Amino acid sequence: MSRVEVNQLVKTFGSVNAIDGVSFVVPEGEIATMLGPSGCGKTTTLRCIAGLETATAGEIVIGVRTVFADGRDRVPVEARNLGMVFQSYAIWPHMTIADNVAYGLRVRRRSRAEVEERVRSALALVRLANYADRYPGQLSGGQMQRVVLARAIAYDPEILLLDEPLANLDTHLRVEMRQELKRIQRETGTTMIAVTHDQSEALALSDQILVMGAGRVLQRGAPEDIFRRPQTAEVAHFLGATNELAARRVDGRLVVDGLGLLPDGVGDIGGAASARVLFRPSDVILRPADAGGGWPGEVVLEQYLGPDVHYLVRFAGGEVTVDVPSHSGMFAEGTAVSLHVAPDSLFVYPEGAS
Amino acid sequence: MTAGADTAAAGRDVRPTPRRVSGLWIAFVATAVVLFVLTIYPMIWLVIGSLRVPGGFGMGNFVDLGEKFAFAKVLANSWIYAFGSTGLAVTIGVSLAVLVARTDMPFKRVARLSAVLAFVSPPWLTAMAYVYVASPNAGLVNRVFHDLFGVKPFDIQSMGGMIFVTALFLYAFVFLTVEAALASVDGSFEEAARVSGARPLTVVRTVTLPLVTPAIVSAAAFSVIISWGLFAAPAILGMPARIYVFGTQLYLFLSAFPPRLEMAAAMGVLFVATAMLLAAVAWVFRRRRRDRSFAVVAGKGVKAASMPLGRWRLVAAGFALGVTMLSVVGPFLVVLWMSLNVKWFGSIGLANLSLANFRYVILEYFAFWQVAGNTLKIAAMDVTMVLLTATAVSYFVRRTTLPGRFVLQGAALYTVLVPSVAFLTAVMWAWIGSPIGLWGSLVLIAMTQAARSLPIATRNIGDGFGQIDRPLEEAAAVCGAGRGRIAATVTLPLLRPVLLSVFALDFLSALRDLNTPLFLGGGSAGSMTLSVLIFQLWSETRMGEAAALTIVLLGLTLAVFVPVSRAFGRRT
Ligand SMILES: Nc1ncnc2c1ncn2[C@@H]1O[C@H](COP(=O)(O)OP(=O)(O)O)[C@@H](O)[C@H]1O
Ligand SMILES: [Mg+2]
Repeated sequence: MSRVEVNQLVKTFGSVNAIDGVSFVVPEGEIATMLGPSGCGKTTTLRCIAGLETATAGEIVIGVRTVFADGRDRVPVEARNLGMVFQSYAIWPHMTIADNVAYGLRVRRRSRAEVEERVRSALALVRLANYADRYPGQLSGGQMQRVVLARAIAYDPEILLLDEPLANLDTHLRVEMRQELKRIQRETGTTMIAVTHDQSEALALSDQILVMGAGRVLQRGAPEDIFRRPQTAEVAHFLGATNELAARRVDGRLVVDGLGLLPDGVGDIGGAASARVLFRPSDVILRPADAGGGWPGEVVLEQYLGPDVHYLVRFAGGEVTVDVPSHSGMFAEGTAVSLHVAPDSLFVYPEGAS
Repeated sequence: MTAGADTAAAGRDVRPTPRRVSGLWIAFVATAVVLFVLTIYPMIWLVIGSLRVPGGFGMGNFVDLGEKFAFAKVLANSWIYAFGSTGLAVTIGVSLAVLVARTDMPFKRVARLSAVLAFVSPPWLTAMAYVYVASPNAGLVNRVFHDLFGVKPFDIQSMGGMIFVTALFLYAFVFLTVEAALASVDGSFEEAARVSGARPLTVVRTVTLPLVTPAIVSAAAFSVIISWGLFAAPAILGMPARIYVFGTQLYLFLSAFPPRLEMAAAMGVLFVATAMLLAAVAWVFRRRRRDRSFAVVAGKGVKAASMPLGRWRLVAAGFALGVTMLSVVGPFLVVLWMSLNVKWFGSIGLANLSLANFRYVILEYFAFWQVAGNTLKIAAMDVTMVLLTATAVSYFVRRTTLPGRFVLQGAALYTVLVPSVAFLTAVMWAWIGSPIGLWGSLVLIAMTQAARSLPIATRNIGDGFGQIDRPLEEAAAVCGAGRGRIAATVTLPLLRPVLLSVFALDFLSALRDLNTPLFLGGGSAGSMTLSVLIFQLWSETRMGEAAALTIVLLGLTLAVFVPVSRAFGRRT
């Protein structure tokens, strides 16, 4: 169990900057997740921490050891004492489950009794005690996930790295394993760094989220902090605020074309002349047009999703999407409606350089 | 729509179907007949021949083998030779495959290219070169050592020498097989091991090699079978030292007067049986492994792990370049040197260089053009037969549900388990007294080469079919194309790259094949090829001429190969 510190890490592949000055600290015993769209450098960062990839510049510190600095690896992969969960699982098909889990202990030359004991307890921790002698070919996806976890934690690594650990599972299994992962982390107290492109995964798992984009950390913070107070339009958008309006400053107040004034106290855009306004489809309340107030619009499309109804609403300035719980009533396509968004659900960002 | 139009349409739709099916059947039966003649018929005769004794049938030949011909010695030699070469080839080939596929060793492309060249270069070339360099008395290196230290340390004309030279060719087969296997193993298996704390060598031992063990085992099994079928190296290196292995002993039986055909057949049967047993063991082993590793989740794209060698990089590069030097570049340069020398084992100066050997083999030897023509004719007939048959077999297996298609495939593939010289003995038995006058003809040589080439060609073309997305053909069917039209307009054009590579490989191996024309040609100029002529010149100790003709053959090969690979390259 160690803290991890990454300072100004850069990795280039030829002319591509896969990561471009990433810095963060993960305190001992916490879970941090890197969240970001595909190709933004999450896996590369993780592999640099593991030592599977040699970064171009920057510094990586694990515990008390500086494992990478001055453009070269000071500690090779095998000596970094990490656990890693690969997206492809990488369970060795020629070994039994027990041999897979015992591998890290055996290369560390632990005594036979200790290997046996730790394999047993690791498998018990992931609830696979009865599978020790099977070969991986006979396991289901969720079970393989557990084996990889057991293998990675059996030798008490300083940190555990997970690359999209749940991406290969189907939806309900993913929720179950997510919980399992957090339970195991809380039981073992291992420092974890996970990579995901799924916001609910990141929110549910993490003590700290690093939102990444184009090789940089866009924002760091606790899940609620990130979710409630995204600092840039990009982060807001990636965390689900997919509706975007353009606003202008008129007489000191913000006006959205076709909708009118924004409520007072929404966003502070400093001296900028225009702003982007983002909000989540689920933060919109739809009312019949005659209820008064709100922004006027018309339902163009209705998609019934079970618990929710998904509407496409057109208004003078464009189109927005709206998610409404289905028990709160339905609007037929063509119905005139009014949209209401609470002021603190509107994320406003000044446009242009500032 | 009226009822009349309906029936007319139905009539038009129904009629062609049975016609197409019967066309398919005709093609199927024709392919079956061709395969029977090419691969099955000779082997039946081999068995018959081995059992034929004066006045009937019996086991007498096998008894004679043991009692009259010191067969135990030949058997022991063959095993030592095959397993020694295989052991060395596996050691070199597997190390090089791991280095190329899994590390940051420099000169990877050189290593790959030289493996391909070693695999397709004429089997006698290396042997001739090493005789020149390291024959016990006159070898160049031995003479240099003698002048300096008074000793002649090397003896290439020995069992050790045979094993060494053979391994320099066999390693390429192991390398190519294992490297391909490694390329399909996702690197995360090894990365997981490294993260778990294993050092690179431990990773190779505990993860990399176990994962490709099935490939290594089958490469080793086939190496043994290939070694038993070799003739050139044992003949050039072993016969002068009176070391006889399976191939050379067969040659003795067949070229004796009168030929001991029954003895050859009996020995052939024994080796074929052993080879099949070996293959069966390898197959069982592979199956056990596959059952276990079934359905392991692979990564999105297969990406090879690359392990840093650190200061061992230079050592690894030296190893790779050394193998290239010993197996390809060195022998080629030596043979080139030999071809330009008229004075033998004399001084090493440049004064004796001349083109006299070339002048002799091309202009003065009376049948050069006929022999060269024979070589090309055989190769052309061979590739035609191979491409047609292998494509047909693959088509039936991959695209039809005709009963018996797997029997057809088996008939096309099984000859890979038969050592080359044993198969030649079988062909000899099948056709030597036959009223169909194929014996000694170019056609029979081509047929036999085709039978030998079918396994690899069928495998490759079959894999090619496997890589064609079915919907591409189904779309054509939905558009209304029939079987033949789909094959001609969709399947075959998509197969073109595979067909071209099979063509190239097969043409190369036909040009450099010595065993088939030597055993089946009967020695007359009418059926002689360049390879046989080279061997004959060598046997008459006209080494410069043999070397010159080898260079000519390589030139001819390049002249054919370069345009073809250009066409191949343009396509992809
Ligand atoms: N081995 C590599 N060679 C070249 N480019 C690479 C390599 N690995 C990753 N990249 C590039 O670096 C960028 C970040 O990749 P990655 O870290 O895998 O993203 P993520 O995991 O966030 O999806 C991508 O543009 C990718 O194409
Ligand atoms: Mg990734």
